[in-house]
Order: sequence, then C-alpha cells, then structure tokens
Amino acid sequence: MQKRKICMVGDFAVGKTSLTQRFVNNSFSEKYLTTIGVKIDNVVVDDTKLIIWDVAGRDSLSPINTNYLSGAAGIVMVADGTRPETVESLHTLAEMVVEKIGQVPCVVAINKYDHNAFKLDDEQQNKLTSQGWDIFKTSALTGDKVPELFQVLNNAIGAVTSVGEEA
Amino acid sequence: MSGYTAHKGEYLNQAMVDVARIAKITRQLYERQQFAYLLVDHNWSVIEASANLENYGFGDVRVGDDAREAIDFLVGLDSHSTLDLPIVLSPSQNPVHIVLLPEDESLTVVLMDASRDYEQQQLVQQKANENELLLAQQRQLMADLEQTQAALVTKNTELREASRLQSSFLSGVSHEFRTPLAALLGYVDVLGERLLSQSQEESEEQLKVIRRSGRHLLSLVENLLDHGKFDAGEVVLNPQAIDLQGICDEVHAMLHQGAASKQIALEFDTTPTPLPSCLIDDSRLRQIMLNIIGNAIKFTDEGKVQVIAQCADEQFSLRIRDTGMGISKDDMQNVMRPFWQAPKNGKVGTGLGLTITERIVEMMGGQLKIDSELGVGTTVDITIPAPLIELDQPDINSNRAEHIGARRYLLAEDDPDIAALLKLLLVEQGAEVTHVENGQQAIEIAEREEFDVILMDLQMPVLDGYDATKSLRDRGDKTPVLVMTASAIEADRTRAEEVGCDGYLIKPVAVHEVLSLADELLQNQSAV
Amino acid sequence: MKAESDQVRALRSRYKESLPEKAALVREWHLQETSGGISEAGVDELSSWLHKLAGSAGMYEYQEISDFSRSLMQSMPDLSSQELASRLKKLELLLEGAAK
Ligand SMILES: Nc1nc2c(ncn2[C@@H]2O[C@H](COP(=O)(O)OP(=O)(O)OP(=O)(O)O)[C@@H](O)[C@H]2O)c(=O)[nH]1
Ligand SMILES: [Mg+2]
Repeated sequence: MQKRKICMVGDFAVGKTSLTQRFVNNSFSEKYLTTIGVKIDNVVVDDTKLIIWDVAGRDSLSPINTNYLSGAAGIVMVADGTRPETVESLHTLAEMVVEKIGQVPCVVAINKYDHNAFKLDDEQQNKLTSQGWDIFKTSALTGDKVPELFQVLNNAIGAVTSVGEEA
Repeated sequence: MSGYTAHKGEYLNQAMVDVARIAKITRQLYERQQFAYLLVDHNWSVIEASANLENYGFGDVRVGDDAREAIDFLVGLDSHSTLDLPIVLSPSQNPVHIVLLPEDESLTVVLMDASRDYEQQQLVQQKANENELLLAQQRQLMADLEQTQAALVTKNTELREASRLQSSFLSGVSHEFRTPLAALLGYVDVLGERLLSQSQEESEEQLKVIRRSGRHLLSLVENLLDHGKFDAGEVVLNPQAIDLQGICDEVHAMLHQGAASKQIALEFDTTPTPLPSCLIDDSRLRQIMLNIIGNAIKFTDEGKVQVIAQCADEQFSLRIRDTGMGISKDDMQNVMRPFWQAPKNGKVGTGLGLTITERIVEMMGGQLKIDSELGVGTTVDITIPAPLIELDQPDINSNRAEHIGARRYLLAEDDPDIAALLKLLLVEQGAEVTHVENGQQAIEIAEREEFDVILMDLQMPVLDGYDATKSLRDRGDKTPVLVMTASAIEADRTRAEEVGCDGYLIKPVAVHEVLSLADELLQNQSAV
Repeated sequence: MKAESDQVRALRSRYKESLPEKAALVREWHLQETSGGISEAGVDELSSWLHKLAGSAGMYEYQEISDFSRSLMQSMPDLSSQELASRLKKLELLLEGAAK
C-alpha cells in the first residue's frame, strides 16, 4: 500500500493531538497532555496509508523543531478559534514550513468550533483564504469537519503527486 | 632489535586483549544505552540490523527488506541526508531518539532510548503550557469584564433615562387627568345647583364640556391600558370581514366636528370609491386612524388635514397630510418613543398615541412612516395588508365551515408543547378540539362524547396509542383514528395499522395534512 | 403571506424559552454517559425523551434538532459510549444554538 507522511503543526494546545485522535481512533479527551517531540500515528484513507506526525506545538519558549517535517507530503496547520493569536501564528508557521520542505499541499483547521468563545472574523478569514488555503472550522470534540479536513488534504496530495513524481 | 622480536608476540597479545576489552566496553555501552541500529542502502534495502532492534518493536526487519515497509517513520525521509529526531513516539512504544547517518553507499539509522528525556521534558513543558493557557484565560476574562462593565454603564444610563421619562410621564398624566376631571366635577356641581334655574342652552353647553372631558379621559385610560398590554404581550388581533368605506365614513364623522371647531378643513379622499371589503381588525384600524388623524388635527392650527385612503393589491394605504407645526429633525428621532412629548409645543397628551399606533401597525404586518418639516407640515404614510373578501357570497363560507368548522377532534397527546400548538392551529381553522393526555383518558372520553376524528400520539404514559386504539376498536368504536408519531420506522406503522388505525402521520405534522387526511377518512367512511 | 396568529407566536416563543432547559437536560445525560454510563432505565427514558423532542422540535420548525434527535433515537442501540456522548454533546450544542 502507498504510504504518505503528513504533519500537524500549530501553536501549543490548539488541538493537533485531539484532531489526530478523533480521526484515527474516533476518540476525544478533555484532558490536556502536551505532546513532546513528535507522536506518530497512521490511518488508511482511500487505499493510502497516511503516516501522521503530530508535532509538538510551538510555545513562547521553544520553536517547532523543523527536522520532524522532513519528507512530509502535506501539512495540516491548526489554530484554536478561541485564541486569536494562534490564528495569526499560522502565517509565520507557513513560512517556516516552506523554508524547510518547500511548497506542499496544506489545509488549515480552525479548531474548537463547538466552543462558545470561538470567533473568526472576516478579516482573519480573508487573510487565510488569500493564501490559497482550504479553511475548515473543526471540532475535535464533536468531530465536525474532521474527516473532511484529512480527506481534502489527501486528495490535494494525490493531485500533485499524480502530476509530478510518485513517491 | 632482538628485544623487539622477543616482545613482538607479547605486544600483539596485549593489543588483542586491548581490542577485546574495547569491544566489550563498547558492547556494554551499547547495551546500557540501548542503542540499536539499522544499516540500509540508499534504496532503503536492509543490509544489517542489530539484534536489539526488537526492543524497539522492529524485530521483524530482515536483510533485503524495504525498511520503509516495516518502519513507518522512515516514510518520506531522504537516505542521503543527516537527520536528528530527538524524541519520536510510535504507537505503543517508548520514546526514541533517532539519528540518520548517511555514508557513500549506505545509511545507518541509530535508535536510542529517550524515555528519560521525554519524561523530564514532559513535566516541564506541561507546566509551562498550562501556565500560559491560564494567563491567556485571565487576560480574556479581564477583557470580558471590561466589556461587561462598559455594557452595564450604558444600560444604567438607559435605565435612568427610561425612569426619567416614566416620572415625567406620571406627572404629565396626573396633570392630564386633573384638568378634565376638575372641569367635569365643576360642571356637574354647577348643573346640580342650577338645574332648575338656568336655560336649556346653558345646560347643553355644560353637558357638552362634560362629555368631551369624559371622552378624553376615556381615551387616555384606553391608551394607557393598551400600552401596558403591549408590554405584557397581551394584545391580540381579531381580523374580521369589514367594509373599509364604512370605517372611513365613521372616522370622518367622528373627527370632522373637532376640525371644524378649529376652522380647519378635514378632507377624505378614497380610491376606489367605495372602498372594498377586506379582512382586518376593525377596532384596531379605527384606533390607528383616530390617533393619527386626531394628532394631525391637534397639531394644525390653520390650513387643512387631508386623508388619502387607497386599497389596491390587497394593501390598504393611508396618507394623512397636515399643514401643522411639523416636527424638527432632532425631535423626529424621539416621536416614536413611549412617553415622549415635544417640549413646549403647548399641546397635551400621554406621549403614547404614536407609540401604540406604530406597534399596532407592525403587529398587523404593516408599516408606518413619518415625513415632516418644521413649520410646513407632517405626512404620515401607513400601509396595512388587507386580504380582499367577498362579503355577500355566503355559500363559499358555509361550504368552508362545513368542511372543517363542524369537525370535532379528540387529540390524545402527552407532550404539552405539541398539544398546545396543534390544538390552536386546528381551532384557528374552525375545528373543535378536546385534548387529553393519554390513551386511557382518550377511551374514557370517547365513551361519553362523539368525535369525528381521533388524533392519537403513539407514545403516551398510562396507556399508549396502540393499546388505546385497539381498546376502542374492541369496544366497537369506529371513529377514524389518525396516528401521529415521531418515529419513521416502518414496523411501527404496520403495528398501528394492525390495531386498527386509519391514517398515519409522521411528526412534525402540518395542520393542513391533518385536515386533508381527516377529510379523506371521513369521505371514505361516509362512502361506505 | 402566511399569517400567524399571536397565540401561535406566543406558543412558539414559549417553546423557544424551553430550549435552554432541554439543553441542560442533555448536558446532564452527557455527564452521566461520560461518568460511568447511563443506566438501562435511563436509556429508555432518554430514548422516549428524544422521541418527544423529535416531534415537538419539528412542530415548532426546528428541523435540524428534530432530524438529529430522531436519528439519534433510532441509532442509539448501535452506538458506542463514546459516540453516544459525542452526539449528545452535539445535540446540546444544537439546542443551545437554537435558543439564541
Ligand atoms: N472544546 C474543545 N476542546 C478541544 C478541542 N480540541 C482540543 N480541545 C482541548 O484543548 C486542549 C489541547 O488539545 P491538544 O489536542 O492536546 O492540543 P495540541 O495542539 O496537541 O497541544 P500540544 O501538543 O501541546 O501542542 C485539550 O484540553 C483538549 O481537550 C475542540 O475541538 N473543542
Ligand atoms: Mg499534542
């Protein structure tokens, strides 16, 4: 079976691990256990095995260790809709990703859509879509838009690899 | 020289011992550090694998295999580049430190246990992140608090303004009551004393004042009551078939005297003449017209008040134009506010007439617009939906009545929300509805009273819809039973039919569905 | 024009006002499910409550709530505890949303 590496990146506590677990095991935990280094999981989507690298989030002390991104075929960028600063972060994160591994397919999850403090104003949204990213308002808690997020990324990767070289 | 030869074997021996010792130490080191390694060529084909690779969960890697098949984290990596991955957690394995060391022909993948590093970092990082989240939350709370405070300040100002208006209204209203009351009582006294001595004309004049004062008081009280009712949400419209022309004539008759006494003209212009009949709450329409036209007369001291009434496209539109004092731009924002009265205009009132009128118009689904220029005059435009009807075609009405009006429904439904709404909707269609809360009550009442149709919920306490229907049929009761249920399961339907239901509706049910299905059932029944 | 009488409107607003209460009830169930699981009797009660909600929400034109509670009621026996909990959460959110 074909295998593809994808990476989850974003600030700390935005829900990268939760989205991964919702998608891989259909589970969710309210408890926050921060990821150290990288946690690898896999799941099969349309005859492709996605190897998901759930990378430790960025915080004020430590930047993301971009070594973990090597060889990724696609990126899920995650922000927390209840913390506007994590949405802003996406832009610098994207630059960092491109610098390390070049242009690869990328989707954006603005997570915690179920939360009543969720807010994404038009200006923020426009700024994201103007980058050409697909935006998903996800909830790892309810599972809203989670399958769509990974499905769209996988399709996008399929589209570029079928044009270019097949891994 | 000979010394060297003599010692050559010893040196060699010593060297071998040293090498062996170094090898042993290295192995021990490897073992203690739990190193494991994998040697692959640049196409990821396995050349060699250390035995302890098994400890990392990769015991099944064989020479010649594609390493990426067995080891997920190698997927996508470049076999020519050095790479350091300090902490990697794979499913159900301990954290490992992975290093890729490429050479000309091969690549060594070294795996080292990273449990200690992981645990240390986890503790520190968890604390740091939780703290930062708390700080962020605190910041958010402070921002929320500030917003709430600001909102409270605004609210407070509004409340103060409202209460100021209320008190100024109260003092105004007391004054309003006192003047006509004083006049009324005064003239009653005078009349009482002089009834016998004064002329008929004098008495008539005084009676007129009494009547006017009384009327004014009455309208004040009515406005006040209406306002209260609106606030309590108790105002109910009661549309009826009315003759618009009749209403206009009536209003004209009521007001033209008042206009004449101020020597201003009151003109009524209706298109078409006569206006047709339509469905409208007549007393509310009268109230609207009296209020607006009355105001126009009140605020006009010379010139005329013109009323243009039109009925077209099921809309009744009224334009009331006066040549009065007009309203300034600043005051325009206030005219609709309850209790507000233009300062120093020399006219008195409750400041409620316009507010109430607007609310009635809105409730009727219409619109009210005011255009005014200070010193020139005011134009008020009102449009109200007015469904046309034919007053003198009794056969249509009676047909309709027979269709639904004469029908008696028994509604067995335990959910009060559904029952209340369904009952009301049916009653509004002219039906008579008796509501019970379970199957047992339905049977009991059906024994005593006749119904045309029984609407039966399936899931009810005490006795459910199935059993109730069955029991009715066992007793020989043939009243059509129409089942309503939220379940779309086919088996439920079959079971309902087995116990003798005649129709089946899935909630949410629309009234017209109920009506037409009931109709169908009754027609079938009478056909049999 | 669909004329709606004041009484109908009053009923509608009364129903709307009852939505937060319903959301609180769902929250209670969600809590039970995530802390040890709803009892067997509770499951029956929940199912019949969902049945009612499917009917009444539909009558009051909250179509999404009606559809969701109907399908939840029907699929309840096949759901894992996780799934039930997350659907209850979703229902709670729907009710809260509709109450706004
Ligand atoms: N309400 C709500 N909470 C969520 C959602 N997703 C995640 N959370 C909570 O947010 C917290 C952080 O989630 P994680 O998935 O651990 O975040 P992360 O991005 O992996 O964090 P790091 O590993 O520290 O970078 C946890 O307490 C989760 O329960 C969501 O969709 N809705
Ligand atoms: Mg994580």
